[in-house]
Amino acid sequence: MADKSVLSRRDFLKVMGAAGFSASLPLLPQPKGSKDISKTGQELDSAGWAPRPFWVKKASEPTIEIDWEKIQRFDARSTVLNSDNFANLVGEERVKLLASTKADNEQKRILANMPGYTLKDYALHAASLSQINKGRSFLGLRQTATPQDRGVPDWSGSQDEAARILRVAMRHFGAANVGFVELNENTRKLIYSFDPDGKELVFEDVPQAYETDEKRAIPLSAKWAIVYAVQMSGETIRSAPTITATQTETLSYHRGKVIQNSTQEFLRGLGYQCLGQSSPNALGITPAFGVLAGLGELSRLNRVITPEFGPIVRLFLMITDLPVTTDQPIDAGIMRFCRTCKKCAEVCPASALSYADEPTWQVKGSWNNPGHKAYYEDSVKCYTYWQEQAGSECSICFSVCPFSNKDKAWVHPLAKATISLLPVTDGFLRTMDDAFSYGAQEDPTNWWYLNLPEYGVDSDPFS
Amino acid sequence: MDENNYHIIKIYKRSWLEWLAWLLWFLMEVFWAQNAIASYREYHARAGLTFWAIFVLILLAGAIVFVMRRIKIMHLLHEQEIDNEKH
Repeated sequence: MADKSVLSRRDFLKVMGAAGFSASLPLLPQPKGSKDISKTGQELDSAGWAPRPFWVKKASEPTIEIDWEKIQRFDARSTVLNSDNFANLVGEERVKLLASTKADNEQKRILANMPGYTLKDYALHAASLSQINKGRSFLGLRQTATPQDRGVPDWSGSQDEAARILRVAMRHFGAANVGFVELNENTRKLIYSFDPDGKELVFEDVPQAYETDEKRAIPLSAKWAIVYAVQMSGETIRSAPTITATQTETLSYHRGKVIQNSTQEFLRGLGYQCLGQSSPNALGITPAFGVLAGLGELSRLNRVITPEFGPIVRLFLMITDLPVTTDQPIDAGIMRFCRTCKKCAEVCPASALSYADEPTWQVKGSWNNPGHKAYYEDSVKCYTYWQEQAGSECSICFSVCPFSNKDKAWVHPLAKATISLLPVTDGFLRTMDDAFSYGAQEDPTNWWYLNLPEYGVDSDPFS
Repeated sequence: MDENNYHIIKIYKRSWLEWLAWLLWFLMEVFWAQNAIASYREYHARAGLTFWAIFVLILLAGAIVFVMRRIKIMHLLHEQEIDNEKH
């Protein structure tokens, strides 16, 4: 026993050698600065953007024409989702008929155990829906200690650094992509004149944002719009139009709200203001900001299609007084592909999407804001179909879009790169999309057996 | 060394163009197989099936070309052996 406790000369030298090596490690040359910690191609740029595919090119102008002179601030109550406005457009009687049809269909479908419309689907949808407005506000929760509360100065840094930490924080909170746009004489026109709840949105020369029963005041110092995308579940939306598919949309609104609350508190903690959406789709025209910030391109859907996630995202908007580096629009060949593809317009059950070869300046109705060339949609037809037939939000146009395909199979990034670089192949690629049955409706019953990640979304689209 | 104690592997000399064609065939097979496997991970079963069909089709095409080339080569080798015996 005693022998075991005695260290042999050889072992002693080994131990001393190892200890000496360990002690000398801190003296070895260290990597220079934290910026060099990763050279794996995964590092963020100075403004916090993750590397994008080479075929996503930055552009000086969006891939749609804009006439800023023709753009006026839009009243959010003019959309068809506003019940009073919808009644003005189609008549009170029609609204009542549509509501009773929807209610009748709902009960019949649940009792018949119709795939995608069973009680469990409705319960799942209602669970997400119950969360989307609770705790959402223009000014935020205002619970986090400010630097003043802590007795320290506000955070300060370069605009690049501000953009990076904000983008990193927001992605950590759950945003798929984040972009920034400066609010100037033109882009202020993209902030609604009135929110959906009827409160006026005004820019005022005041130090702090405030809200009354009549209005929401945005300080002139809050000059930066934050636009962010939240992924929906592509696998879920493939069963559209069903309640199963709709619930991923409502869930993304809920997640958008969580990100908004967290970001408002984060910026408050740094000593800055962050003004959010008082309800989903409030504050401003998010697709327009999404295009200007390079999150994606406007498309035939008259919605934004992103290079990473296709149209399977919801966009949200906030405003801050933290100066950040702004972003540029992109050209990934998406809008150009839409000219040829037309798949969404072909399958739209309400015939609400445009078949035109070229985008136009001519709006379809009061729900559109003029001043840019687009494929304007007939929202009345779309919304009527939701009520009368689908009994849910439709989303077929999202589901069938060739950009909705994930990038796990090599053929998809190859096709996207080809779309960007070789427009002559657009027609062929659309044909191939059909040939491989992409966009075909999936059986909603199977959704309950899919092994999907959290929230049904992949955080890395290129994995 | 006794000839019965070892095997002789004969690799028929092919042009670099033919080797390149086989390399392209192999890479194509890898491409279609990856798309087939990944399609199931994307829950695109119908696309996966189509990719497997293309994979098998190209595999068969390669096998047919290989067998035909082999028959031709064996025929040439056989003729060479006859010539050698004559001489």
